[in-house]
Amino acid sequence: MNTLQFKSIVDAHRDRVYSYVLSMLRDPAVSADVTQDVFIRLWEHRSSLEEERVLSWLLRVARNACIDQVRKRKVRQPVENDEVGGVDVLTDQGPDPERATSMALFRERLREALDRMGEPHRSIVVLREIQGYKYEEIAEALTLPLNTVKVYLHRARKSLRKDLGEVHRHDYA
Amino acid sequence: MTTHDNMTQGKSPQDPDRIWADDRLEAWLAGELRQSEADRFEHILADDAWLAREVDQARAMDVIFSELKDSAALERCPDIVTTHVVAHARREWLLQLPLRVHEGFRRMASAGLRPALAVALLFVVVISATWMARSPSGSANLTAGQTAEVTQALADVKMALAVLADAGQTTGTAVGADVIGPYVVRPMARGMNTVIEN
Repeated sequence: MNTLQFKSIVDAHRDRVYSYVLSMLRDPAVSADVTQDVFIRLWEHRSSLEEERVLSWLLRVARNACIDQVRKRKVRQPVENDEVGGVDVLTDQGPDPERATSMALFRERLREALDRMGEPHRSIVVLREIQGYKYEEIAEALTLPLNTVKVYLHRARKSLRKDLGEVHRHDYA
Repeated sequence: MTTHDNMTQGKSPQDPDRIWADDRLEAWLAGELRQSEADRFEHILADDAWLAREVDQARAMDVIFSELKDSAALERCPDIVTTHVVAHARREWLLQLPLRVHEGFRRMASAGLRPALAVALLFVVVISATWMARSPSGSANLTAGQTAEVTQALADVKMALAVLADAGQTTGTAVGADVIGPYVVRPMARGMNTVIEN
């Protein structure tokens, strides 16, 4: 792989890797640094990689880097504003401010519950529900059997559902 | 009594049907249950308000996930990341160039091409020497276009020499030790000695 081929791979995958890391860490600056490190590792391991497995390799390395980052943050910093969610609590209230606020609260509770979740359940939920990967892609990235990924996802979703049990039910129709 | 308890409609939290259905709720929502299981789930769901509430909760979660998925799809990696990564790769590539050249020579030598390489080098030296010896008289007959070509060729030779210089002392030493010494200098010295002795 020469530098031109490498650049084309970076261009093809950088948004997916960054988006995944951002979903895991919720900090744009740190996520950019982690994404950069992931691609530098790709360059260093270029001779031992098959091109069709690059994305799953990137996701695996990104996940490990995220886990390292979370470990480094001994005390997790509270997220002051949820830019990552893409919907601002105060400005995107639309025609029904009460419902919008309720949804924002529900979403924040969901993210908090997700942050508390252990691995690999959290990565599976993020990759499947937020990043939209197929079961097969997740299984390859996390080196888990396909059925295990499905079972873990259902368990993780059930766990989130129970965590959110105390949040009042709202009409999302 | 919690809100949950108030909505049980008489069913115990330990009710086997409820436990069974609660374990399969996510699979049912994802459409991954077998038809017989899906039928059983829906039958239980029809009679259990608590389970219906759990289904609502799961669907509400899906709405939020869908929102997050939409915003994640819009996330763009900052361009500076690509810039830094590609700059790093180019820097590494240039730093490793001398090693790669050396490795190339080493592979050629170890592949049994030493004699051929030695002959090629000798050929280049002889041709260059001949060309240099003839160049003063030959250059008088060159046209302006040919002079420009020669100038360009000399510039290319200088560039090639600069690249070779970048290949470093290691490469030069290795080629000298592995190829020129044993396959050019020593045979020539032996030949000369034979000539002198005879």
